[in-house]
Amino acid sequence: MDQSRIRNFSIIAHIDHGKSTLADRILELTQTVASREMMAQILDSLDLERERGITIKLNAVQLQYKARDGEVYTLHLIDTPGHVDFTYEVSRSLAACEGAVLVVDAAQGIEAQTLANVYLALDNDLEIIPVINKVDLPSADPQRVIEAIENTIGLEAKDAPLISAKNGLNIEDVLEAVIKKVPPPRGDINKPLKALVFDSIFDPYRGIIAYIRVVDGSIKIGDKLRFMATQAEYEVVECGVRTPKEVKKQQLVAGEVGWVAAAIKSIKDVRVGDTITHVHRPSLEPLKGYRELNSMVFCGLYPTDTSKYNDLREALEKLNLNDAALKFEAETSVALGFGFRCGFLGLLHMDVVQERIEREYKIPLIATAPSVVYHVYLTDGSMITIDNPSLLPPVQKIQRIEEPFVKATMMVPNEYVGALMELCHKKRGIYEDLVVIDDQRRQLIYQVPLSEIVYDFFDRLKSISRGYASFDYEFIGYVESKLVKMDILLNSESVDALSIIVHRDFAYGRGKVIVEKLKELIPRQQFEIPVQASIGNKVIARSDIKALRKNVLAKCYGGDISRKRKLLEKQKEGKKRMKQVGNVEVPQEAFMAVLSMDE
Amino acid sequence: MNHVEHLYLHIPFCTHICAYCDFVKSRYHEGLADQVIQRLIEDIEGCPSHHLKTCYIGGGTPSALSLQQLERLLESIQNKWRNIEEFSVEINPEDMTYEKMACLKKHGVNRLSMGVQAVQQRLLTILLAITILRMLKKVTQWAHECGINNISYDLMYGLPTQTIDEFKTSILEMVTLNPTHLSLYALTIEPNTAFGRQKIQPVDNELEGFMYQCAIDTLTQLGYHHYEVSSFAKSYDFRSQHNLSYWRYKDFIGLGPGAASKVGNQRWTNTRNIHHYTLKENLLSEEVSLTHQDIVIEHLMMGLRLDEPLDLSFLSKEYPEFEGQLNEVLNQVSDLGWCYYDYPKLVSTPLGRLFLHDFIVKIMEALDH
Repeated sequence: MDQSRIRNFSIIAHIDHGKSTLADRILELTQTVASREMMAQILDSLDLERERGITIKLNAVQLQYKARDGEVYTLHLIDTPGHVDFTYEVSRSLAACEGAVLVVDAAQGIEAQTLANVYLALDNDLEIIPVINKVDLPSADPQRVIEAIENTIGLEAKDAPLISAKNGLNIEDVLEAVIKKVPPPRGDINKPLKALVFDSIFDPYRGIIAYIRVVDGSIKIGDKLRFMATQAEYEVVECGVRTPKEVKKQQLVAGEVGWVAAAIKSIKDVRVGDTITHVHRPSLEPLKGYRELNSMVFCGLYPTDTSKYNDLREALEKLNLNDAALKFEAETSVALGFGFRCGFLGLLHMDVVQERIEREYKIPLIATAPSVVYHVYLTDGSMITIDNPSLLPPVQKIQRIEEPFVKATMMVPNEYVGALMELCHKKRGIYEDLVVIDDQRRQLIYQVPLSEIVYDFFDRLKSISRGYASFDYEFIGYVESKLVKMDILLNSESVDALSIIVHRDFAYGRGKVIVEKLKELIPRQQFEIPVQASIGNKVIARSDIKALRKNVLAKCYGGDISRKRKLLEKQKEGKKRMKQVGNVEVPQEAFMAVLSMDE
Repeated sequence: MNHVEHLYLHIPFCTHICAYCDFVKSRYHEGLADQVIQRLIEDIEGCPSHHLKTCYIGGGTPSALSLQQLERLLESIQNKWRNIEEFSVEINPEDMTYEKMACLKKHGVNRLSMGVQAVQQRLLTILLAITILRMLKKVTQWAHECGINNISYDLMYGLPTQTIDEFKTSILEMVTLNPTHLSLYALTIEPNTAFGRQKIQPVDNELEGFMYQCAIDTLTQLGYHHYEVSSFAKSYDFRSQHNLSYWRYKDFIGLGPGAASKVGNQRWTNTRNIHHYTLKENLLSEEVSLTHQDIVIEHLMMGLRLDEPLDLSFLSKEYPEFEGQLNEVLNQVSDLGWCYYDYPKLVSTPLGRLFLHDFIVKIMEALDH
């Protein structure tokens, strides 16, 4: 294939700025998908993605487009996940492209993720094509947005196509810009094979299927391949492209984007960012940019029904086939029994995994509050990592504790800057910078402990800015902090699953909120239950759940039977979601109570 | 269906709507009431039951009907069934007249149930209810004059801002009228009521518990029998025979909008829409065939409300599949002090009735396994 007729590009955008809708319109326009077959937002194929309006898994589609110059071009549109948890995946799929279409909402303008994505694209030397979307909205102000793009990002945006992806307005201009501005691939088909793995999926019949961008050389059926980072070797069984239907081909050559099936059984062999080469004529150097994924957030997942432990293991194993970033290992909790300590890329990743287990595998779960990974330096000079607060060694053995910090970038309308700075200070943030975006908005940069982000930072940010602030963060390193373990006692018994690590100066306030919240969440039982927060042996907060005095339906006559039955059924179902901790029945939500920070 | 001996009639009209009520009701309208009465009379005439032991006319407020409407309705019942042992009508003293009382008596009504709720004007205002004590006394006197001496009053507790003293005062006021029966209901806030819409919060469970206990202590001392969770009778003979039929899980037929029936393993509920009811459209809002498990659970859910023993031998005979689980859970519950269990006799203890909700859920869980 003539590489000068190939363009590889991604669409990047802040959430809800219309990335998926634009992708749909492009598929329609290039008649890759007939309109009548068109299911809205075809690239987002997981149910959860569709519901949450986010893209989790990547997809790559090959399109044929007859341009205004009369030539037919082959375009590869590579979709990227739209969330901060998946930054590394985004960067790898951007690495598979030469250009990126940057979609900016004509009403909302530049947001935190817009910038984060732009920087990733610039890191990968991509040609960026700004596109102003939603110009049909009454509140659209394309001129202001264009100026902001030029001033804040430094991108030429005068000629940015003004489109409405929803109504199909000026979509062709986007493709014309891609053809004119995005450079064609410049790989060498005669060099040893180098192909970038930017995604993989699990197919129950064919094993792991790797999504790749061939940079140099070519891949044919029967070729023996080596994954350079993992050193795994496999023989190509099938290869091809997606349109978005799977189309099998004899070979993929430099410049092309497609998939390879090689009867790969283990996801561990196929890492995003790895380079594929030939066993017999290997490339000497892998492609740049590969790194191992580290879990940033951990939590314990326990089945509410202890007999479902093995089902939970199976569910995690199955999810893991498709999601190499999910880490898990067995753990036990005195309060919750047998479960798993799971590691995630971030909070959304954690939510998605939990929801899929409950929804797709029908296993009611108790999730403990998320924790970050602490570096604990012991008095004997060694360092251990702790991702489960209940495992923190006793105080006298600890020399110091370090916690992960992130750089938080927030975009916010001027009037909320003060409130946002106050929030950042409350969350132990360290001020770094305040940048003017335009006359209405500022960009605020703080260093914040990740543990604070994991608590309620995002919800707080949204509520104090009435939803107008946007937010992104990146890990910057470990910093020493005055941290202590706080235990929660129910009916005088310490509940390991409720222990958290907190900053010493915030412990009292947080302890108070947690015991109050638990009092609210744990239903009254036949006896009084003291709820206490303690540090070491010292109780710092207490609240009592009063005993239930009566629990009986006042009226129950002929006409009530059916309704009251339903009420009792509901209570019965509710009990299934409760965990017996000692002699106290604790509902699922209580284990997340430490996250409610209405201080 | 011809063996059914218990009939409920629903009159969906009130002169005003109380803030807590979620029964099918609407403000009284003469024309619409005529249509409903007409439909009810057709249903009464077509009712397959040969003999009634109890009949209960509830609502809404049956006393909201005009004298003529009341007369027509009662006449049709009297024409169909003779010698109903217990014939109750719910009344609101505010819309009673001496003529209506005489009419009730004339057509065989022998028991009245009056909604009082509370004696404090302050609380009645909150409830949007009106029952002035003076009127209540007068109507009670009319009832006695007409020869209806079996009278029950309804009171409520756990009302927003209500104190224990206020509740106790209400109880004592009622007792001075020497009723044969009292029903005391904790306020429950249902979503489709004014209270539900205003998101009124229920009172603290502890306070509600104290009020309930106070009522039990007071009435028991005064010689009333606490024979069901919310019901007190001057003597066992004055227990509500009609309601006992529900608690004993007997078959019953309900006529009128929103009324429920249970015959054998069938249960159905009439449409809650008054217009649909009069036009005979979409007649049922719910129709279920009860499984064996449903029957066992409901039988216990109802029967354990009473202070009289249940005979479980029918269960082993008809539904032997649950005998094992049931026996096991009842032994456990009996250890908690919630029931006395000596197969085939089962009776809830006062403590068990206090936590009946949890008691039944335990039984339901056991039967699921």
